[in-house]
Amino acid sequence: MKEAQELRAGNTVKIANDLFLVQKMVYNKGARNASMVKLKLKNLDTGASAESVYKAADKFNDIILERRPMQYLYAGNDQYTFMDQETFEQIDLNKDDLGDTLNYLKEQMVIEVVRHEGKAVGVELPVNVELKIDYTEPAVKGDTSGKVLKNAKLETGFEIQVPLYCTTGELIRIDTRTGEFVARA
Amino acid sequence: MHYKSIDIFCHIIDNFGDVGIAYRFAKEFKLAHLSCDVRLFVSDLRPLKGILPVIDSLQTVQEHEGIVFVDSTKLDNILVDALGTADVLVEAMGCEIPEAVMKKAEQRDTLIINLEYLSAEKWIKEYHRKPSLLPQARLKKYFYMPGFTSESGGVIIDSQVEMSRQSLSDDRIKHLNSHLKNFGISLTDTKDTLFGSIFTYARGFDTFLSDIGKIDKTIYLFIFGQKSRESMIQSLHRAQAVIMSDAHYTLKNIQVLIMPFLPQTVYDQFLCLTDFNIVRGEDSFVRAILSGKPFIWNAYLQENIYHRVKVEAFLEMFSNYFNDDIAFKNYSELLLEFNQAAEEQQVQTTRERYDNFFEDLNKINHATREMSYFIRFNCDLVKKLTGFLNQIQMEMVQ
Repeated sequence: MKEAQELRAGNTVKIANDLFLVQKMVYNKGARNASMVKLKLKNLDTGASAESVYKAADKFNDIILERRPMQYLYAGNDQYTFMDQETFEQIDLNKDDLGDTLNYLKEQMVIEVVRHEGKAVGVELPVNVELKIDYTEPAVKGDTSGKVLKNAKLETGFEIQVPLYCTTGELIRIDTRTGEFVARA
Repeated sequence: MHYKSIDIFCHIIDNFGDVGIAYRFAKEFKLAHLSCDVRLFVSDLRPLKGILPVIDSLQTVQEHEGIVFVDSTKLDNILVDALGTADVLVEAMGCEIPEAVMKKAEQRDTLIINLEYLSAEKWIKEYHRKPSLLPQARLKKYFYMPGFTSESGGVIIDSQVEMSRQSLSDDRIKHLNSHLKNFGISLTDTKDTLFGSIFTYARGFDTFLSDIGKIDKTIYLFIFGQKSRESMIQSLHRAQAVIMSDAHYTLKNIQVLIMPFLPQTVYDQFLCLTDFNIVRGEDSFVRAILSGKPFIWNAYLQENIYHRVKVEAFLEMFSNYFNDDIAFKNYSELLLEFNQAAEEQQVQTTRERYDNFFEDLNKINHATREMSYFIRFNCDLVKKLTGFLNQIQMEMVQ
């Protein structure tokens, strides 16, 4: 069982008799230290996607589907092409299938492609990925605590918050579950 | 409304806030839908007794004001079988519905509404009226997000307070004297006098007492709740106030009166009698806004001072009702500093000053009154929820 707040893009959950792929997860902190999450779920049988909201602690039956390591090659016309590391077979996934993982996906990255009944349905990222900061305001001397944050645009185009001491061009490690800065790589 | 019965569940975490909101919701829903069976399931009836004295906290099932009250800690399969389940189940403040009730409810078509805590944050619209897919085929669940905008779920408007609003204004001195007489005080006019109520979490009032001590008026402070009382007494001792009685202190121009616990409606009405209110949490915060009187909000303390985010969101929305940028800036600074504490302490840990608040009292009064009008006419939670329930019913029929 997994709590709603532990789910992330690429996870598969079973609700009643249907399997759903998590395409997107948004976490919001509510009052009295309670929180909630909004999930974009794709029904793996019908292919239909829909949003569903949950309390952060709501429980899910998470299902481990077959997965294979594949390398992300390139994107074109909203299709994202991956290559099997052993068979060199190439498969395409669309933007919706990739969901939040697009925030961290860069060419040549090897990730787990999730398959259902022989068909690729999504991808799952490692917990941590290393990405380069494409742009951030110049580093500020003085604050080394890491508690004061600023915006940084990553090489994938995604923006996250980083400590003031980070600089443009620097390689950093990011937690893909939360989108938070972990450390300098 | 198609639905004939509604069960509201409330799990008490601490204090009176959650049960106060749940009871208020039950009461107003019943008034709006007299033919609908309304039941309120509460995990501890003792705090409810404070709000509604007629409650017998030892009784499992009882009826008052047309509402059936149930002690939810006594719910087992036998009692649930006897009581049955309603057409609509409400998880008040996102609480969990007892397992025995869920098992019974999934045997019939049941609508579940997760009635969340109030927030002024913009993201709540992403959750408001959104479905929450459940494994049980016969259960349909939606989130309902209270808030201060037309797009949100609104707030509960207390009809009894609305009806008494004119009288509270016209006969203000009479109403105030009905409370003051317990302290041997009777006023003939309110000229050169300020009345304020205080109901907060534990905090220091040292700078507050120091700043209002400089105002050229007699100030009556009515203190509500154990935490405010204990904190205020600590601050009064530090300021070397004169003890008139256990419930009455004097410090310069300030008369501090320790109030007994008041029934919900009486407290709500009291907030309409004062010149300013200092309130806490969710329910008294909403009542303070609806009173249309200037107020200071002590937000529920969260980990990592996250309550500041809630305060900032409220201020962003509240700024729309101010005509004066400087007054709003001063007010924002006060509210943010007032909520700067990471934990409850009966000593002064924050550095807020109140001079501007009292100088700007009329401007803040104008803003609060404008917001109160807007909410009362556009954000009635029971009306909006009824509309949503009707819409769901229509969709299910289609």
